[in-house]
Amino acid sequence: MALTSCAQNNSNVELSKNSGVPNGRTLFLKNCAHCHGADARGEEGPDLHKLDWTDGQITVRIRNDKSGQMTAFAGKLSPEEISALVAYVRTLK
Amino acid sequence: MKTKEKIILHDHNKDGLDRRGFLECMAWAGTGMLWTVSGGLLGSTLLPSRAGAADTDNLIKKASFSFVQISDSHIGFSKEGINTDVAGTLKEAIARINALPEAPDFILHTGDLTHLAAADEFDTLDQLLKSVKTQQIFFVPGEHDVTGDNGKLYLDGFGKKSKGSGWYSFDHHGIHFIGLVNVMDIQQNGLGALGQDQIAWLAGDLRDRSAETPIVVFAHIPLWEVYPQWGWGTDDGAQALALLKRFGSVTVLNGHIHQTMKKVEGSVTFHTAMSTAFAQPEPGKAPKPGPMKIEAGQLRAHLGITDVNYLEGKNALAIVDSTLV
Repeated sequence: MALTSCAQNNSNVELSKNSGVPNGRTLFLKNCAHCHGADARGEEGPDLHKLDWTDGQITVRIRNDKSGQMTAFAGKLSPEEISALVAYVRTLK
Repeated sequence: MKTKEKIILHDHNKDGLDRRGFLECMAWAGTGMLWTVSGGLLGSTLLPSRAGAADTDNLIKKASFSFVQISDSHIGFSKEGINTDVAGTLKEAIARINALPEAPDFILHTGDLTHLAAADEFDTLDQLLKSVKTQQIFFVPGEHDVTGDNGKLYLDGFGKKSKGSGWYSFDHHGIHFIGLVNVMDIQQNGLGALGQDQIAWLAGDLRDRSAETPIVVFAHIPLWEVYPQWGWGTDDGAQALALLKRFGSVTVLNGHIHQTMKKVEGSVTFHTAMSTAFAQPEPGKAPKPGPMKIEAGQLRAHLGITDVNYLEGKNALAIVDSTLV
């Protein structure tokens, strides 16, 4: 629940930063860029721009693994960090 | 290996660092190359890809000791048309190591042990490497090994005696080996970074060493700018290289780009190793980096190991890249 409401906030990235949680871009570079590319245009993983997914769907994908293709971040990243990542992905147009 | 390796020694600016002709200095090969270090000078010889070939045997017999670099095993990766058995190709690489005429003193694994930094992937790698005939294995992490937990699993299993995020140094037969970590803080432009703490540690580690000490540096992402457009380089790598500039023989071994490349700048020789899991495109030869589909039956020509031999008193490192073909 907290994930969804947080991710729906357009200023989530900045809020995360202010609350001491690394911002979404930083988290993305550390955890996602090696597969999705530093520009999120996709390398081994898909291009994340213009995703036709809900925040909830993105959250679920980040939290749970995908049969050897993507690691499960639940338990590795905090709910706030996952929310920040969702918010960052939402900025990719 | 059928093609002759290019070794270009350019230093137009007399600064020990050649930027011009950079691309010319890169040798692209999916093959074997043996490096010898002698008296602070680095030499290399193109060798047959099969371990046990006469030239390789002779070189190894003359060497004071040898070690092997393996890289990018990406345990856990599986993709149809690329490689669905990375454990199997790692086993083949191990078999190549075990078939060398003399067992290497140690193995350097230059990162991306795993694909998703999962506990079972680290465990699989650990189990597979138990069959390598060598005394010790040294690791540095790749960015795939530190995903999600800032490298905790990696450090718990493979970096217990290291400092900071996993850096350390050791000496062997008069050579000073330095393992660096440049994957913990990927920059906005996608490049790796060492960070000021590690650079300060490196400065201290080198401070009292004689300039005659042969140095071998190993890290995952190339310390030099191989192809910044794809993030193939280290943002603050030049600071580390500046600290190494006074040494007469420096060898930098990296992985990450899944292909062999060699460049010589002054007394510094840069070398990148093949992966044991999958190939990546040559810089700029594809829209983006990433696992590359290989024609059926050709995968093993793009995977391999790097054997390094040191001849004490001659100051020569001989490096041989061998494919799994």
